[in-house]
Amino acid sequence: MQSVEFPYVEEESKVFNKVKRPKISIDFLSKVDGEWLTLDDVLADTGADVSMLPRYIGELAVGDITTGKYVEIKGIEPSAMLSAFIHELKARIKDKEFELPVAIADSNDVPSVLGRIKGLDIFDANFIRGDKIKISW
Amino acid sequence: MEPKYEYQIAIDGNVVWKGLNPKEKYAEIKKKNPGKRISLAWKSKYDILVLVCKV
Repeated sequence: MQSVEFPYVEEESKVFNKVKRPKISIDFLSKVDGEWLTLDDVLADTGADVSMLPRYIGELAVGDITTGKYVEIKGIEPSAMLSAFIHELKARIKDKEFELPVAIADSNDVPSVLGRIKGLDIFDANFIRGDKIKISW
Repeated sequence: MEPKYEYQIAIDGNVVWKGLNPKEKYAEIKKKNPGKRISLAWKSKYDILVLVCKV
């Protein structure tokens, strides 16, 4: 079994002073130029059904994001709905390549997220004591 | 109102650019730095992130 570890990323918070978040690096094969696009600080989020990218990163990956299947994504806020377009992208973590459905948001105020469907679900993901995440396959 | 996020571009892990639209800058930096690890990141300025998404 192969694995890779990512230390949690410490970020500032006015409420808690510092917050450590499980963020990882993922490469996406761009459909625009056929080259790998490396993303850092992708939040590993078991609460997310699907992986997500903000609009401008999505445009670097696929060009016209509106060619994907339109979806409305719901979060915690009951009345808030995020418009997005689902695209199938080739993704890579270390040397593990996989096909990943990604909701590219029609907004830039959205983090890069690795969600469960065909993402975290195909790995053993171990969140270790708020310190690091170990992803195995 | 100031946006609560920014994009960052790094070369070999060192952030060289921050801003709201990375598209042109990413292409430019990538072209000028062949063989180096060019990465993009979206950074939050929110104090607390609670993310759940249902499709």
